[in-house]
Amino acid sequence: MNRKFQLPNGLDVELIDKPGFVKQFGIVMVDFGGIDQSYRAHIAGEWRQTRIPAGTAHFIEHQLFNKPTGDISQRFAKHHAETNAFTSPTKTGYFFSSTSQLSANLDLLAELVSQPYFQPESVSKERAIITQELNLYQDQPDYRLENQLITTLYGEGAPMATDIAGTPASLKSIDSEILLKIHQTFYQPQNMKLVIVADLSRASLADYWQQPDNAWTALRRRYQIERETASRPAKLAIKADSVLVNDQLQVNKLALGWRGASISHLTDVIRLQIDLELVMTTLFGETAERYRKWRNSGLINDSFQFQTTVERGNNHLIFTANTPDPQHLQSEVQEVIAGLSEADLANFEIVRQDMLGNLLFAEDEIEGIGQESVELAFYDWPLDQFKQQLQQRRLSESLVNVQQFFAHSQRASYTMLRSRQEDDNI
Amino acid sequence: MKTMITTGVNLTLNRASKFRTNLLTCHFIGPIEAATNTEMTLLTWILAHGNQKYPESEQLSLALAKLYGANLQVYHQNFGRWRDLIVEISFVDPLSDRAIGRECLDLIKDIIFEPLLGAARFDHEVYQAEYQALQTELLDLETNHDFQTFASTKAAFFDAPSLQTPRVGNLQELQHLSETHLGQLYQQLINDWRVEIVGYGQSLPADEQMKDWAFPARQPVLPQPQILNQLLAKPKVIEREIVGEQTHLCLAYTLPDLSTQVARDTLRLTAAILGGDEQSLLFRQVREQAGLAYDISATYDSFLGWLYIEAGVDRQQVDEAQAAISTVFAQARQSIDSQLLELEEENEINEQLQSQDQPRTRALQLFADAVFPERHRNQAEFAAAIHHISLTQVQEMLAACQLKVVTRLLNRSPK
Repeated sequence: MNRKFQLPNGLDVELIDKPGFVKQFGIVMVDFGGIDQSYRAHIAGEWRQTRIPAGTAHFIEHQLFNKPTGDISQRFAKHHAETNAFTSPTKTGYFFSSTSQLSANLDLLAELVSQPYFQPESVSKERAIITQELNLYQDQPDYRLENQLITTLYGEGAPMATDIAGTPASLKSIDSEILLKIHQTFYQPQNMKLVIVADLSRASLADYWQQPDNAWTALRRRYQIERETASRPAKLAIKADSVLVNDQLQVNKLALGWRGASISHLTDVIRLQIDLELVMTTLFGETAERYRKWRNSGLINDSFQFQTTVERGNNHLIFTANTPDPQHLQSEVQEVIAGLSEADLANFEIVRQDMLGNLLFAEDEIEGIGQESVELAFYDWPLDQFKQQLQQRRLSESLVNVQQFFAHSQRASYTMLRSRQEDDNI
Repeated sequence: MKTMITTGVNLTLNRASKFRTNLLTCHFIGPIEAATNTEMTLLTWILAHGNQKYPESEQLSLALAKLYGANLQVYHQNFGRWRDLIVEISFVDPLSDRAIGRECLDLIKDIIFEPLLGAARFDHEVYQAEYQALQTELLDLETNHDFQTFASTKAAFFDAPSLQTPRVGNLQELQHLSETHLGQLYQQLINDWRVEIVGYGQSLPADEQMKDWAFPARQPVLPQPQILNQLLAKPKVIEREIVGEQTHLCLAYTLPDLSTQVARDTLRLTAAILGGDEQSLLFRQVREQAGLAYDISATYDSFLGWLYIEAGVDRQQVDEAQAAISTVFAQARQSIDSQLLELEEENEINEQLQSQDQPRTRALQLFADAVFPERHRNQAEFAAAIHHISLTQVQEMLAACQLKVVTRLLNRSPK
């Protein structure tokens, strides 16, 4: 039986029952990510502002695994659990999966996120490792393509435009003191959500939350904070279209995107995500005739994709593709969007059916259920409600919402051209 | 349920009710020499494009979307000297009336028996479209340094040309491809290759419908899949410069005879101890302690008989990183912490247990049991076998790993 409740310290907990499954999955998510680079904290009666070096959220994610007894993932392993973590622009998540010892693994998860052990020597070593991680991603042309577009859309130096892992310069300014201060600020129970997915009849969690020494109830609220909204200039003067010639490339690459206006109401965030997915998939997905025509003509191949991101502090739609003619592809996409009407959305209901089917497939994925649920928890949306919303959105509503998005958005493109153009078929 | 449809064509069904997902899969198994990897890739793309009923790709996509997002995958994989081309449809059945299952079964048969290959009017157009798409993808992979490191290593490691290319193929093979030969290859699959059909899930069509396939009888002749590689007197070193932010290092080792289950289990555990997760020797010593690599891992293929270690490092530290990897090997051959052995044993058992929660894994297991019945084990038998492996056996496995190829793609920054 599914349950949701809040602990006295403000931590929201959700238990999702999956009878018959052996896997047990626990995830805790902190409302703190790469774009959080400034905040105000109410300490000793006054508000104090603090700037956060870029890459701090990601650095904390790495360093939290270091404990006085060593790497905590070894202790998870002794409980037959695998553990990992990730940092996104707005969130940091820590999770484990196992087949037994759920309460012991939950205790470890609580310890992982609540008991920092930031030592100068390990921080220094981590800096080197993260620098190599930066190099790993910078080595990938597709990563650079998308990054450059995001930079154009959000502005050079904007938190969204900075790599989640930071920069070599910002990493140098991160030390154990800063890590501790930021950890104490953001890793508070009222700023976190915990989701557990398991066959609850096997999991024996009945008394877990009532135990006086429960690791999660022990998390402390410290002080009130106000996140300073990630850099969102009212109207950014952006260079609409940028081109770079890269003599290492074998194919031309295009990234084309729209950055939307701020959204304050959480329900609107979810609706926009759903509407963009429905409409864009209908227009540009594999069920669209134009997709086949573009592909058959060689204008696109299977690398053509779009992504919608709608969350705290940022929302955008990005297309990326390998294409022999980036300019032509760009104008084709823009033309479709500019002339968007109901006539273009004849397959809307079929696409909705497809997306509903995907939600049913997802019911077999324990980790996916956990991750989706914990993210939606920040919008106070259970997974069932998301499905309901998907079922109920009318074509006319989705169309208007998406048209509004484009009407109030800013567009940019970033093209990477191969320098050798002698073979025009490529 | 297991049954023979006709000689050389078998069906395995499991109507398990645990999952929402159902799978219908048709495997075509043939000898590796019958085709190149590039031919197989292009063939799978053409099959996935459409069929004679839905010749345009968006028509096929719409047909699948109407079936609540039924998912068609056509891909290929290798088991050493065997090729396996897979046509698979996974589906859900929200109305629980099996109608979607029947439609998916009809669709998979249409894809297999009425492809666009050889179909008048569509054949050449589809071939050209998919050829072009594959060419672009292979060109893009030229600047994927991870991929190029692996491809260079594989090319140098294996003697037989059919084993030297990566699974997706390469541009050289693509240039020599012919439409006619591809059509002939497909006819061979349909008429001569071994066929294993697997159905998994609670919404499969009735048995009579599942048994109704138009495959002719065949007498497939397959070589031994397992490969035992020859060692070189001295490791081959491939080194070249690339423009990028990271140097890529790959060390590839031959493995001893893996024809017994004990040897394969020992290899599995050895690879995990060496570089399977955050507890492994390479991760802890090369990354965490020495800080020489952000990503480092050990991968093996027991059919191909090789194990390779890949790492992304700084150019200035590549020699140090290579030496550190050698040191891990040398030290592990002498001594391994018994706690690490126990930990990785439990990890492997746990991972195997967790995989039972994935419908696709369950379907693949049915296939594996059909083609390698001698390897079948239940969870308890698997756990017992893994627990039975000793430190000595792991050390002997490491001692038997012989370095054959070292690939170093040294980066020069574009700035």
